[in-house]
Amino acid sequence: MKKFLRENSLTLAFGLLFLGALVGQFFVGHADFNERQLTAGLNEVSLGEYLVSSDFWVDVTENWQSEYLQFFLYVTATVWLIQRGSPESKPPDKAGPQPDKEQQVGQYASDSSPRWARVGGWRTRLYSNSLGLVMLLLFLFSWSMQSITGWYSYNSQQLQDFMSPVGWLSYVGSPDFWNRSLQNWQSEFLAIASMAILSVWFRQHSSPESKPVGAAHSVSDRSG
Amino acid sequence: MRVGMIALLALLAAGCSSADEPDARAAAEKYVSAAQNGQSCALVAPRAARDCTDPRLDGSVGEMQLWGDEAVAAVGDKRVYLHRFSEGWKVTGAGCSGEPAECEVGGP
Repeated sequence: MKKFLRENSLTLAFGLLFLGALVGQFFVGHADFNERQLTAGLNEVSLGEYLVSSDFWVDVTENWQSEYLQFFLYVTATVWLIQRGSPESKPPDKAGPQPDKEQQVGQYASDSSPRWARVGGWRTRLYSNSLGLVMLLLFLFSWSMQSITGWYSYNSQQLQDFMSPVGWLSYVGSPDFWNRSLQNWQSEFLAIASMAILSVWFRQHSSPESKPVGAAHSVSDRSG
Repeated sequence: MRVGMIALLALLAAGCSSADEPDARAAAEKYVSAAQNGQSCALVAPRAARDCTDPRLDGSVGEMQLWGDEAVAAVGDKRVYLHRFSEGWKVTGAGCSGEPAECEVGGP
């Protein structure tokens, strides 16, 4: 048990942080929602009503989609894009898809390689891109959920403001939908660009996200 | 997680569109009937109760749309807006037309 906890501590710790933050968001979101309700001369809602409300879920899913977009782009763009000196980047001479031998697929796979890395054909091609694809699917799923929960929330506000509700297509072309999307995307892109460039010059002792403290600024593809 | 979200959305959709509509429609119909008898001010939300009058509503309740705790009913060429309070649906605006709306009772 102790061994399991130690060997999975990164996922477990961040999983718990995620749940803690989500619960925190739920309670303060509920308080904030009720403040706005009272200001509008309406009634407060219960925790249960807020849990199934579009107002709560649009705030959740708009953040989820941007995180998965960030990792999809990071995982796939770093196949081709380079930042010299960054441990997040390959060295400049390795830009682009790498040969099977280096990727240990097909005839270069070992006995311990995953089966789909060994079998060749479409399964190996699919498995070779599975991390990016999973991130892409999770992004598309959570972005779709944002569009639906945002649509409900938007139309509810429209009626509260004595306006007319709009169709889903109108909503996904609306400033509300794109403001929610872009305000999250810009921060994710800033985080990637910052990590790529700041890790050229700064170090974090013993972190795999950093180069070794004594590594030269010009060295890429090494982690400490 | 995905199944949970789909289930949640189904719950949201079901909760918002079908389950609550009979109650909201009944409240709208009761309000329209009361307005035609000069007794509608007892059925409006507190904010709309100030300077409340009986709006001129011709016809019966037609198409209704529900979004969360809000609903709008077409009554002839006018609209009636309702909000779901803990004690039931109450009218927040009536005799409304135009966009942004101008209402005879309540409204913006």
